[in-house]
Amino acid sequence: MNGEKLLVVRDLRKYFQPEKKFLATSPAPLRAVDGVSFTLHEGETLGLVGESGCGKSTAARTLLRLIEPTSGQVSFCGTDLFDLKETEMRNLRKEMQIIFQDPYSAVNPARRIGHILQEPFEIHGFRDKKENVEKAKQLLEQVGLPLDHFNRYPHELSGGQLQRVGIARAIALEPKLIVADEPVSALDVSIQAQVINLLLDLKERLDISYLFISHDLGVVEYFCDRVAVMYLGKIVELADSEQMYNSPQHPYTIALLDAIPSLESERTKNKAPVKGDIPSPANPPKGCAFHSRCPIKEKQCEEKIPALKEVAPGHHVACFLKH
Amino acid sequence: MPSPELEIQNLSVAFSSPRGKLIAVNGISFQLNPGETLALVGESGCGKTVSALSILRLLPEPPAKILSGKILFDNQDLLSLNAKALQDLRGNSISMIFQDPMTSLNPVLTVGEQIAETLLRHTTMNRREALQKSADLLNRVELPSPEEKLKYYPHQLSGGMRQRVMIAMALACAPRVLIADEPTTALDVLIQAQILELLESLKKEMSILIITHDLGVVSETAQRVLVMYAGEIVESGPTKALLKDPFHPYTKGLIASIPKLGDKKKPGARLEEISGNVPGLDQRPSGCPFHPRCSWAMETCKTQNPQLRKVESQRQVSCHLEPGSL
Repeated sequence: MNGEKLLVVRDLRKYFQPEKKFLATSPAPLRAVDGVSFTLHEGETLGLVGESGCGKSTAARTLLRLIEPTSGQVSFCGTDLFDLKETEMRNLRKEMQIIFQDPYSAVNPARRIGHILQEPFEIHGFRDKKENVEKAKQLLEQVGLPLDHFNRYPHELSGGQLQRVGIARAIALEPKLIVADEPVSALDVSIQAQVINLLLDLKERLDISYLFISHDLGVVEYFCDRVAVMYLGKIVELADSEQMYNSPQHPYTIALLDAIPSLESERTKNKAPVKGDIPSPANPPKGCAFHSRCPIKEKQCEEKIPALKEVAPGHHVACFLKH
Repeated sequence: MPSPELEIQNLSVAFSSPRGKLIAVNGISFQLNPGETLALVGESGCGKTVSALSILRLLPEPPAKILSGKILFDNQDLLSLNAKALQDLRGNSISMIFQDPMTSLNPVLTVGEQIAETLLRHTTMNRREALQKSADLLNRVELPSPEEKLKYYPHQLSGGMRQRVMIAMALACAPRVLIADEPTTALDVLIQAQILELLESLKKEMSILIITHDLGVVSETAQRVLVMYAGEIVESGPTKALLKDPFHPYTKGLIASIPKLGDKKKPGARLEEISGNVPGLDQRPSGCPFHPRCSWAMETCKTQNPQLRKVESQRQVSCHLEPGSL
């Protein structure tokens, strides 16, 4: 990795405390994010993948302080985010933006597109109304939308077009980091490619680093330089995307890759070696969280939690059998 | 050629709206053969779900209206049946499973009651027999501890388990045709693999019409595939041949726009994309509905909508171009 460290996440945790029922003992906290560490370099794209409920979105929101962390450390360009006051944090938000999965619920339906795109400038103290309008128009152009969309309302746009508005809003203040939370999952197949291409273009033009959250391993492999696989609040494997796809190590990663229906292969047997559902993060299995579904588990997996260890240069795995 | 299990002839469905009549399905015809798994694939708004719902007359009429067509099953036209006859059919000889098992199950009835309901309606079983059979069905769909699960309410089950319950209900009366509308779309990839495996095991027992937007799912489940765009079938053929060598520009574009595992991006490479958007029902383009997005579009395409024509023994395409010229 040649770039400087842009984002360093150390042992990030977010526990949600379920409400205590009258006279009952306090229930165990729900460990949505349970000790996540990774580094994102400048100009890099890091993918965060996992099934629903694995904590990938919560991790992203916590590190942006959209929700407050339980513990851990996040430093962005050398500044410790969790030490900042609300106002200082707001200033820094210019540098770190987010794109959401559902573009319709991410914008105010009562505001025109032009208005939505001027908002970032207004919030961050750019007072010149005329200039803001001009900048908003430039943003439309940058994301490949026609200018006549400026006066339209969100419901008049298709999902793909509105996701472009979401992207335009995110790049408005020329951030260094964009967290893209399932940015193409809600879009049709023929539109997904358009949006991915747009994100790739912007990365080159504006020098953006991405934290790309997705459950679609095909998209992640295509889009990301490195990939982190999450399971029940923990990273179980972290590697260059090429390494990850050519020689996946963790049994969970292997299962995920095998389970993707592919265009070439016919349905072969044993595509679903992993039985059962993802356990509840309120009551995770003892030891390695994956042992309840793991096809190769041993006795020790039920007792001890494996650490994330480097097994090859840049390739980290949390599995006793691969250490 | 054996006679088809289910035959759809020239089906057109429209919705009435303040903006006038919107045509969702525009004169489609296809056959589902005995023992076959047929996929209906397309993006949202292409009319695939509306077609499927029309087969069992599950669309609310109005606003929906079946403008024309025949749906032939067992030598009768389903579109001419009365409500009672349709009820005798639904869940009995033709069953359906839906995308979202949470909204398709009744939240205030236990799993057992819901499965037994189907059996009580269509068979002569008494309540106890129906519950026993329900437990057998849950066992068939590989739900762990089925006897106990009969007493569960839908909210106590995970998404994958609920989909298994839906499938158990659909199987209750050993239907001849199963219509599966996006059965795995709401599920995670590992659970999707489990459900696809389950569907695979049902293939021998019935004909399956699977509706999906995911070409990977198509490739792994169906023998034959129909591609829909803007309410019309634009291409059909055996799955392998169609995916390997698509004849319609839309099919070709769809396949190309999916990032495939293992084909690693080269620096600066871009995914192939289909430009533009899926047209809304009220903005149907003239001529071939795909022409505004098609990079091969010619003058004729703007005015004349090509007919679905036979190009090989088992393949059909609706395009003015000669097949193989893409």
